[in-house]
Amino acid sequence: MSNPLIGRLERHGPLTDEEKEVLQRITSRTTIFGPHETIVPEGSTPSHSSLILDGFASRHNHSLDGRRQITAFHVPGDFADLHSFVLKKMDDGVAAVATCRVAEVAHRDLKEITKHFPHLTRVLWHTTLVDGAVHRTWLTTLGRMDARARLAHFFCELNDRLGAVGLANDDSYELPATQEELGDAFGMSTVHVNRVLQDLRGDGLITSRGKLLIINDLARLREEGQYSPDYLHMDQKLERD
Amino acid sequence: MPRYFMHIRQGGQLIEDTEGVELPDLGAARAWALHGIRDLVGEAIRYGRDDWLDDALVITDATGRELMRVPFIEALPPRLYQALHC
Repeated sequence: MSNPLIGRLERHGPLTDEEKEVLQRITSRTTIFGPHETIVPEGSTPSHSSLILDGFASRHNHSLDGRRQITAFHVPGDFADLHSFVLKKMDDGVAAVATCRVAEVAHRDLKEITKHFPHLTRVLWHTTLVDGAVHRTWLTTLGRMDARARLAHFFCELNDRLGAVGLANDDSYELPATQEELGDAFGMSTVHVNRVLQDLRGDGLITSRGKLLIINDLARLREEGQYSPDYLHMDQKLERD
Repeated sequence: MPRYFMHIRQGGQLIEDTEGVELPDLGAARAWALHGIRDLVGEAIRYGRDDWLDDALVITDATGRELMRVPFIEALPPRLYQALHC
């Protein structure tokens, strides 16, 4: 099975065999998490970072009165908490949305990478910077767009992110998130999420077949979501030494 | 926990909820519905729309049996509701 992390990182320039081998080696310890299981508990201090190999995961915070805000969705090839290598104590948590196969990458292995593999260090750093860019973009959609545009934007983003790891075909992909999870990510009630989804379907922009989301009119969906993929920096090449 | 489905009745059209949500009882479903309606109406008002005034949320069980109907205006604050209801 090809490693989605290697595929994703190679979009920023080819890796050497040695770099690929070390990535393969440090991601070989895997665990399966069922839907809604906690991958990284909120407030914990993990000794490894979790890389999603298969499945779909969320990052979340809870307000003090117990309400959940989903702050990110993670797809195969994403580290959900690479930052815990440096920040140590988690200020948020990670949970499986659908069944996830997760590589638990020991922080001591990441430390070795920062010592011996400068290009890998920079390209992994790049991924955490893109995570930050995605958060900023979500803030902008949450603060400045109506509900329909927010979801349209997200469906375009996911199409590009899943496409980058070969999991979107002809603008269709598996979206395992429930209405409740989408609502907790985009500040909407389930009733509102359902309303917007049905409107997008009714207007011929998307079709759903079970958990499969099909984008019928990507150009219009992008326009409605005011979407431009620049913030994902997907094919930006990183210089080698 | 039972699963409740919340469909939007808009004129002659029913915007179906095929996913539903698990809640302890019908009282919790009504509270969930009111929260949802306020969210929808809040955004409609923000964009100057009043096309929701005659809408209702129809709560059904998994077999499609109607358990409760919540007119959108019932989710409005009391004085607004009274002003619209009479």
